[in-house]
Amino acid sequence: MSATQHQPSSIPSFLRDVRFLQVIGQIVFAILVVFVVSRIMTDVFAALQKNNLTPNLAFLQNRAGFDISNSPSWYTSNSSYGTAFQVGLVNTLRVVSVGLVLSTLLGILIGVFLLSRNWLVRTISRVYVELLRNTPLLLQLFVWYFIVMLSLPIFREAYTFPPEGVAHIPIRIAFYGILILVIWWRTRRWEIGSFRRNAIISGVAAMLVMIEIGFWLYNNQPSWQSVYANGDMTSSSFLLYAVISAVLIVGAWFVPIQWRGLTLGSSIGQAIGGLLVYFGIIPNSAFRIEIYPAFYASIRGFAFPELLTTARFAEWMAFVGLGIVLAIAQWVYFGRITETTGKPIPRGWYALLAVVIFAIVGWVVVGSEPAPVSIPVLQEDQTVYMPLEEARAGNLLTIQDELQYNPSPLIFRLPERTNFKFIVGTEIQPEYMALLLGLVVYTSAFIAEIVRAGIQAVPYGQLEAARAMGLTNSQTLRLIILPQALRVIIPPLGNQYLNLSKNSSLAIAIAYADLFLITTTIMNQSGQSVTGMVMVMLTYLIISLIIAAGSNWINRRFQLVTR
Amino acid sequence: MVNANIQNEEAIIVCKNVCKWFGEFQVLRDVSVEVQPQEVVVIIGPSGSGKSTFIRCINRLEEHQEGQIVVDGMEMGHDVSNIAAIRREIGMVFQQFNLFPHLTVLQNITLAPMRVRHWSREKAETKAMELLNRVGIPEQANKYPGQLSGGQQQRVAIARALAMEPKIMLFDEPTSALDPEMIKEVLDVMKELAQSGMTMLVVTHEMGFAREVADRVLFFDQGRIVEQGTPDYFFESAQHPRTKLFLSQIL
Repeated sequence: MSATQHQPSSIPSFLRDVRFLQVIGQIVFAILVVFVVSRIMTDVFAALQKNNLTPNLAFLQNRAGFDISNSPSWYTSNSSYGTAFQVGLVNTLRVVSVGLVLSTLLGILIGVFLLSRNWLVRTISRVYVELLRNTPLLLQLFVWYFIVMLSLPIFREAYTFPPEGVAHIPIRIAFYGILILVIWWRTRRWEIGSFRRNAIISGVAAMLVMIEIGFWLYNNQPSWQSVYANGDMTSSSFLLYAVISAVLIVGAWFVPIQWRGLTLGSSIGQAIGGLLVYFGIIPNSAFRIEIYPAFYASIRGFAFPELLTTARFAEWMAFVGLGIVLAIAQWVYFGRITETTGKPIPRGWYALLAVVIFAIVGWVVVGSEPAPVSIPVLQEDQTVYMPLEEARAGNLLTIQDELQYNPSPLIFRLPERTNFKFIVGTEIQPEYMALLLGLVVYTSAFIAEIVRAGIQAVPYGQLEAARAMGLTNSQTLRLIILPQALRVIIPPLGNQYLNLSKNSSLAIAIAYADLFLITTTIMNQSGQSVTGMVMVMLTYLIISLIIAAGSNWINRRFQLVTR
Repeated sequence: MVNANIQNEEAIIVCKNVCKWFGEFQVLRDVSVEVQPQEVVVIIGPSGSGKSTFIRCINRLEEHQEGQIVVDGMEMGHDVSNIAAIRREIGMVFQQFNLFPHLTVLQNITLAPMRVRHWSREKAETKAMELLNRVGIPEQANKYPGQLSGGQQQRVAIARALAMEPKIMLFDEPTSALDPEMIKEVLDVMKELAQSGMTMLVVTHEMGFAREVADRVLFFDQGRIVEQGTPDYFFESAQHPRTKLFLSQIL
């Protein structure tokens, strides 16, 4: 230390006090900010006043005068600017809320794939992530809208799923299903040795192939029918088949031991398959199923089945609610039993069972309540009374009547269309779909990386400790890995949620009528650009604050105590 | 698989010709050991000699590729129910403790007994407090691992492994990550455990512990057991030149 520093300074001591200086600094800065802002505001207001555009909220009452495509029924061009703003807000929230859920699910899936031991899965998901997060979202939205959505077929030639038509499903498919279930059950841990395993699998495969060959011949080559599938023991071709099969089975004993299971199984299997067909034990009949599409996609948008709630829905929900209450009570009760006795109880399944049983019982009870004997319907401008079935058969029921009088609590209706539009079904416009897909796919790439990093952030020793204690894989994941991964995942995940909600304003690029697009129109028409900007800013701010508050709240619950 | 030829009524762990490779590199070469119940086996050797890998094969944290490992009459193979059953009977203590940081000390100890052994909470907590008393830190039960010192954490890890009432305890360099002052408190717990008759396999560099507590010392080098014997034999009259070199460097 030099001596000069000890000499008394000429500046008064309070001016050298660091606390005093900090306070003064803040006051000076605040004054500067207030001055600059007020100066700018004054100038802006003065300029606006000159053009008779003083910022105010009164203009929100004025007639909007523009149409919004696919707007809800409460908006027309005669509605006010304020109502138009609400339409925009609703549209933004529709995209953001669905987008948050879907991008989380997709992101988690891809994130787990990024850690897969399978090279192909890992590489494909890596390419997916790198491709999506390294290209601009705006470009991706253009691709989704102008390339994907606008290349869909015109309305009349819409893609349908499942394809409209009639399908024939052979009854033997059910037989195959049962067979495969049995094999899976018998061999699920592969404790049977490779000989029997080879024999069983090759035998079943050979049998199925043989059955299929038999039916193919039967159905496509009528001349073979009398020979192949008449059950006549004297048929020469059947005798030949029996001899060949016997030779194959005997011959299988002479192949080397490592191939014997395979050859023996397949030769016995094909023999059984042939016999089953020959004696007609497996019926050659099929279910005829008429298929009505549940999903339509065309350049005008998408249509899904609709689920409508009838007048009896509330009653049914009371049953379901009762089931949920019971399920919760069960959950708590079984949890307590597990704690006191240690006995493991699959209480999640029991809870689900309680809800399902109550839902089914409620459906039956509510649905079997007596309906009015006859109902009023409008027939040729006159109200007439007739039974429900008769009215339905006469096509006299409006959808309101259907909802009023249908005995079931819910009505599920597949989309139905005329040549120009859907008369039944939930429709989604292509702009919405493009924006939703763009946001979800883009954000999911970031979420995938966050999930991967979160799982990798859990030290490998944690996994080893859990395994060494004898925890199962699912217990390890649920009790050890996830709680620790989540605390790494949640804060950046919240940021991605904020990004998604704000990125939704790129809707303007593909003309989806979101908050920002509609406000832009309002600002152009009314000239109230300052008010409009502030309204949009405040709305996004509120949405962001809600999301941030949610993620902070969850984050606090996963914090570690370290000291 | 036939394992009748190496069945031994006495031995609780039987390893026969165990081989393991990491890629091209062979870590274990024909390791054959039998461990009797209540025996304390200390495994020493230079780093990279395969001693940790060997004890990690016993509860299948590593998979051996050739040879046989039979624990308590059950063969450690690809059978998932055998692996689970063997892991229930083996407690393990790691160099880095590996306590679960999101659970309290008590929750760390009661987790496996409740989830794997299906004990009631009351029974598991009684057992946990008993074990915390035994390792000398009952007052830390409701703290989180991050709030404890290294020695305390390792003692909790020992209590956690003991809570499953294992027949065998594996220690993988339990004192290597500890401050010198804390080593003693952990070794004391291990000594007490050895005296109570627990079967123990200990990988360690603590020669004092080996000399005092071990029934048998195995010396590993390049994936082989080069030499083995009682501590007296091993530290006084080891024959193999590699053993002599190792001992001359560390003693």
